[in-house]
Amino acid sequence: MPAPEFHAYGALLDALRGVRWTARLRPRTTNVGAHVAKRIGPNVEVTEYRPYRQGDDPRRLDWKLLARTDRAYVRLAPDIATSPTLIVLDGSASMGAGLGGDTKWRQARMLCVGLAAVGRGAGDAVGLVIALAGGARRLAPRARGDVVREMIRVVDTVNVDGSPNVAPLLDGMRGIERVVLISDLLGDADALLSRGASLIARGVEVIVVHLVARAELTPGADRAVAVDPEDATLRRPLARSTVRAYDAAFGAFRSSMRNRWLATGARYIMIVDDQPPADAVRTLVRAAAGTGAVA
Amino acid sequence: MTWLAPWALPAGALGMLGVVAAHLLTRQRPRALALATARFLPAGMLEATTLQRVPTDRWWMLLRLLILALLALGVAQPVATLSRVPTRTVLLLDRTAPLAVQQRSLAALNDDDVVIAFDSNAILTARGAVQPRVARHASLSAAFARLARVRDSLARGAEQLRIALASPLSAQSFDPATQSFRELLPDSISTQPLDLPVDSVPARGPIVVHAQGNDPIAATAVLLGDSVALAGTIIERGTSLTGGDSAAARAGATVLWWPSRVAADSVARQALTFASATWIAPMDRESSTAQHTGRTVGWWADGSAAMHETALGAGCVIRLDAGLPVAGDQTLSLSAQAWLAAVLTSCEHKAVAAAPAPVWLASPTARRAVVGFRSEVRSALAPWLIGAALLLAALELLLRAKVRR
Repeated sequence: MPAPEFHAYGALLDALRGVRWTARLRPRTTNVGAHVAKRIGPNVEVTEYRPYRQGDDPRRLDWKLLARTDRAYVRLAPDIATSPTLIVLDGSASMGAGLGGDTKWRQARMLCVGLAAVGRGAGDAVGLVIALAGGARRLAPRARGDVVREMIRVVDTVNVDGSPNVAPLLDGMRGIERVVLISDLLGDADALLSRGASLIARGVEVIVVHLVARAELTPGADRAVAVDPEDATLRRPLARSTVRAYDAAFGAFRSSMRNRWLATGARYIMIVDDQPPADAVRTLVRAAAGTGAVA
Repeated sequence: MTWLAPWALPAGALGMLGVVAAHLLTRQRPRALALATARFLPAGMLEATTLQRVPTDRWWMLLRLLILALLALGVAQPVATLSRVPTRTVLLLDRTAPLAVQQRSLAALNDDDVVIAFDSNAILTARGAVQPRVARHASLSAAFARLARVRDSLARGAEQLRIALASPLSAQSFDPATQSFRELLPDSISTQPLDLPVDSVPARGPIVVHAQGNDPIAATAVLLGDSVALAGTIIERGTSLTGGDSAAARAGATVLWWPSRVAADSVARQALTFASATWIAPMDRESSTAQHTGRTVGWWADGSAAMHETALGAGCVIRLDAGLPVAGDQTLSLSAQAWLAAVLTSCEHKAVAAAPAPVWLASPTARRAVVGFRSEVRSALAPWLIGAALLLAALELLLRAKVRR
């Protein structure tokens, strides 16, 4: 088991200091946090007044107004809450092997730690679950100060291998307002779409980070036999004559994934492994607050 | 050095070219690369065959070339044949062919070739020892029988035995046994075209009868006319041959020497057969016991000899002793005319034109040659060459197995 390399994340964490990750959907949690909550609560920032009605909490009466005008009004303001976030990381062999080495997995770890740091900066609880061939590795969402360090320790000590199913990890989530799925979508993509749609229907914000290696986008024309790291029997000729067909098929796949995820209401962002991690995290955070897809 | 199976040499050369070509063609298996998106590549051939400018695995190639060369040399069976004649021709020379034609056929032979000159007998002789002579009759059966006896000994001294036949192939050359004798020979026989002179066709003319005025045979000769027998044909009815008779026979004419003898009118009828012609008439058979020389050509009905033929020069003399009654018209019958025509034309030179050879004459029989150079000679070097090739092949297998490990 490799030792965690905390220093490798130093530059990333420095670069992400001050980045805020706004929840696109108003969280339903009651914990006070940085995001505008769905619930109307006793926030200090008054947005409106309305006449007191029976049943209102007397503590929300504007007593000064009642004393001056003898009219009972209650102060209304949107509550602020945390947005518990769960990062789901695909730990299949395809994330760790490729023409460029394990650059995809390294980028996935950087994104994971960077997002955790940004989320933790907003006071959100951040958790992690990694789909591995030997079983999922989980880190429950927490808002403690050392959650980022704990996350580094986890992602640096796992070995990606096999072809585990990621979709079952999206089941049974409670208290999670935001799910970030980091995957190359080469595994159980259809099942993931189905589970993701269910989550979105339950009001969970789903952000899909489609991680693609640069070597997968431009595999080159050197003659070779391409072997699927998750299925050694899948061997295809890689040559100048086949690259054109490959580009078309892979482009169609990416386009299909993007359209299908967007159709579910999820956020879809494609990140390339050679993109600077800090930039990638900022792109993610910025895109997560908006609508549609970012590629 | 010669080769018992020379076809193996070009076959071996072709095989060696194939080996070189195979070493120029290399089957490359590209390196394997892990690519998570390999599923998007189209399926296809994973190995590629490329043509190199320089042969690959040159040491292996040289070893294989050596194996093939040794194998080809071994199968080709090299033998040292310095003292052997490459091809020996046996000429079957028909003596009935004109002399000039015979000379031309002999002139085409080499010193090592041999000749079987045949008329009614066949004689094996060297090319230079053939005596010039023209015969009236020739028997292919005799020639084939002679050749069958000497063929194996002739074949031992040569790498290849070639049999040529110089014959007009007249119908008289064949008899019922000819084909059987031919089947004794496993070789094919090439028939030499004979350039027969056109002027060899003899002219026809009146039949000269040396007889008394009332001779019955003279009347038959008159009935035959001038176009049946050769000019100069003589019927000698005297008791002895004359110088003119001999001269005519030497010139190629037929001389029927039939001494005139009167038989009683009540003499019994006899059947006299000559070739395919039979004449039945009252005749007085010869009563004397004198021995006649020559070939018997005519028979009485009881099988006893009636006519004898003696070759004389280019012609012949046929002797017949039989008396005829003076009275009667038996000599004027059609059968008498046919019989006499057959007798008077029997000595004619039949080789006036070459006839086509029958198919069975030229084609080899299915019978295997009993003795022949290629069947009796074995190459002493061939087993060693093949053994060395097999040894090297086994060595290559071992080395390749070792290299793979």
